[in-house]
Amino acid sequence: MKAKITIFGILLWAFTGCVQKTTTQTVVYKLSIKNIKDIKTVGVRGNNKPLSWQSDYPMTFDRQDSTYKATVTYITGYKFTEVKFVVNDEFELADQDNRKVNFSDKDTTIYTATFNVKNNY
Amino acid sequence: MKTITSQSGQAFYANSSSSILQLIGKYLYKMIEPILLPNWWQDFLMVLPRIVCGILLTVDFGAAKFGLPWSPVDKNLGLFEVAYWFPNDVAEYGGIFAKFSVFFAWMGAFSEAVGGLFLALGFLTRPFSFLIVCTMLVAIFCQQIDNGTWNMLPAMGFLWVALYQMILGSGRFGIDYLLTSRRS
Repeated sequence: MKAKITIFGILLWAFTGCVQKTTTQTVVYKLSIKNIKDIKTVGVRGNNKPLSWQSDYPMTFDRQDSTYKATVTYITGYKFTEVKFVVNDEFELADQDNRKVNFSDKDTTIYTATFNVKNNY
Repeated sequence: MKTITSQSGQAFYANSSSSILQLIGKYLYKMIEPILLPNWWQDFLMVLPRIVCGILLTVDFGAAKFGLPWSPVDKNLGLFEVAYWFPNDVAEYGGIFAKFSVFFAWMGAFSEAVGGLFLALGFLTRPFSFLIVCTMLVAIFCQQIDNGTWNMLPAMGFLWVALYQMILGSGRFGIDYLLTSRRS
């Protein structure tokens, strides 16, 4: 009987309890754009849902601090995500690595960037 | 009288359990005993793709989605944990994969991460090669089939290596050989 309970416990653990736990992470992206005229669309793309590499997650212009903003909520187990910004359907940082956004220990991470300029943090 | 019955019962269980162990040992021995090629250098050439594929599987493909001591720290994976996104990906294959997505995700990731390590070491080569073959068949036919031949190539490469290792076993260069050569 003990053996059966042990085997059942191991199977239960193996089939249900062994998936990485997820948390909700909110990232506020703030993007400055310099030297680009005739901006039609601004977005952020990345490898964690709700972002994707195929279509923009739209960013809206904030007149107060003259930046484009998007608030993205991730449900993830990782401590980071990777993104790139897109203006008029053109990716920034061509042939370079993606931007790595490390989540803060608090609920919300603020990520400030300039289009096509890699952050040093 | 009771004592005699109890003792004979214990003896029966002892005999039957030892015979079961012997039987398991016999099958395990048969399962891991490698087929040796005529010359050692032939085994040496055969071991190269096995080690390269095993290391790639355990260090790169497996460790990214299955918690091992060498998994990247920022992936935040506990030991033997499967990455949070993998069961969802597996569920998208539909059918039985949707019903038992956690099981298949865990087994697939385990096959790559732990199976890759054991493949590189040549330990329990045939059973782990079998698991890798199953995982790669799923990767080819359920995940990459619509993405063209180029995207299927990595899984196909692992499939071919695991397939012939499943037949040959570890050869002379593996733990299986060390374990079985002493007995024979």
